[in-house]
Amino acid sequence: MRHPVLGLVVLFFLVLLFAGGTLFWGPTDISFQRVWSALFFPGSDVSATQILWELRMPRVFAGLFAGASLGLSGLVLQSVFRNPLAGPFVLGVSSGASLGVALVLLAGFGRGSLGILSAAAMGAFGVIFLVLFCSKFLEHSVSLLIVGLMLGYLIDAMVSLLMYFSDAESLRGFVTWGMGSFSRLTLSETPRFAGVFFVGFALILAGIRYLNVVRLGDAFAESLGIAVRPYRLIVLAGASLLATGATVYCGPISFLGLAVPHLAYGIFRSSNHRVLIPACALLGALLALMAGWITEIPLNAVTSLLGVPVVLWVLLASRHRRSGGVRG
Amino acid sequence: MAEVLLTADSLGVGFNQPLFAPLGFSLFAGELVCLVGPNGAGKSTLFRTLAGLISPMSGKVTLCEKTLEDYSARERSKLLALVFTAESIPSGMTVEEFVALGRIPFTSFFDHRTKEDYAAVAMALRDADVESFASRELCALSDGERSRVFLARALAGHARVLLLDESTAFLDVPHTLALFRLLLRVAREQNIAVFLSTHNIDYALRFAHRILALDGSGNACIGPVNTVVNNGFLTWAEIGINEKE
Repeated sequence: MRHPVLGLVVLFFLVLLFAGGTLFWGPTDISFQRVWSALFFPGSDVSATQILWELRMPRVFAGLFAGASLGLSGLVLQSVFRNPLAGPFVLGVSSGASLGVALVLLAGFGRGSLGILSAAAMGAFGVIFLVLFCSKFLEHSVSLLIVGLMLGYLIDAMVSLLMYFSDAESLRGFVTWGMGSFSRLTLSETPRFAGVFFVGFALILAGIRYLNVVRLGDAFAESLGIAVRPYRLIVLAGASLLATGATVYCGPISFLGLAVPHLAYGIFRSSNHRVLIPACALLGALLALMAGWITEIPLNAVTSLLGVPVVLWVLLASRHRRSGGVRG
Repeated sequence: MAEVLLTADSLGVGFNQPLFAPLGFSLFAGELVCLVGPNGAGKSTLFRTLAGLISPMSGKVTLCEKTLEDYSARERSKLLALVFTAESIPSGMTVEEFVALGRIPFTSFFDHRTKEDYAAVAMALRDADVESFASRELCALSDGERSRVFLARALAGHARVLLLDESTAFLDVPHTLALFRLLLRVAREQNIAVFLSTHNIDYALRFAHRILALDGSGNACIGPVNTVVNNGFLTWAEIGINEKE
């Protein structure tokens, strides 16, 4: 794209539009005026205020932060591992976070949302550094995906075991969490989700120079004077933190992390992370808000139903136009 | 006498044991020096040591009147650029974007580019004669075009010393000739030292100002073409290496 800033501005307004749409239209039919008054004069209309501030507003934030988080996390993982198929779900990072959540919800380690958050973060960090460790012994990036998938299966098996031995009550809570939803976030949890997001985002921003050269290899980056090890640690910590936040507050969402970066490459035709980072954040938020609009169907089904055709179209169209390959 | 840009003092390189006897030489501004030797003689290792990616086993390297170890990675990369044999090539990256990576040592924390950076990239594209396909994708280029793009990336950073590791590999005769001529021109016009490792010994003998020859059994010799040939340092290229079991 010749004018990436213009594209980003358009995306930003689309995100605003869908955020507004989520506020004004929902499963419960409330008139525009009532939502308006509930938004700016909360309390004047009790039922509208309740629906707006307790149901719709958190859903907007959940979609915004979860979508942006997963898009950014996928971008960083694809760049660092030089693999177009990498993503928080494929590499087992989301599974690691799920294990943390399962340990708290099912096995009763720790309590409350802070306990879940730290347990999930530890799970995600654990997996990503295991993958990183394994990547040192692997020549092919395909083998890396297999390692990630294997770790994912192993962790899912552990979670199944935990589910088998837990009581019905906690099991129900865990299963609904596992379906993935933007409706479970409460307004009081939102600042914490936002905090996790912004810390992860800041860590990734700190690694822009590294991310821009890492696709050409570690030796190349070092010859350009970039200290590979600390930067890799920083951006991977950021990526796992973002995946953790999204997983804890919205459940394991499988599709966005893998797909959003490809949308960004296809639309912006850039390999510069100064463009790709905001693009992935906005595109992720946009897709999540679109998917979150349909509240009756499980989120994972919607993201895939909505996203797969879009990604395929972008990939095929761009391949046709530049006769290049998928980024790798 | 031309300006000395890089000096190696009794430099030993290798991982567990030195690959050849300690080596002393200097690279001067404006000259093209070729590094020749059989596979495994230590050409890439020598380059990586000179670039500061590997510590020397003995001796020291001086870059622009300062010991290599005293540079920060970033300051070093402003003075010396290393072009690898097989840089992995990501698809989706255009020539211009790739060449702009050569400015990374100069950019600020968030990789912000200034007018100066853009000017340097434009100049590098022109000097390496790759302007005409600047917006094409890197992975869609021929080997000949790609070798010039790699050179452009190194030129964009205005380094004083260029180390090119087997940039002539995979090139056909016209492209090899063109690259050697281009390197000679760049060395002269920009007053920098170009150090090229190559298996195209015939072209090295024809174009290089000096040759650094490794014979693959631990000996090294640097000097004008005649000296190196007369000292028998290229016999491995003429009659082969005696295989020792």
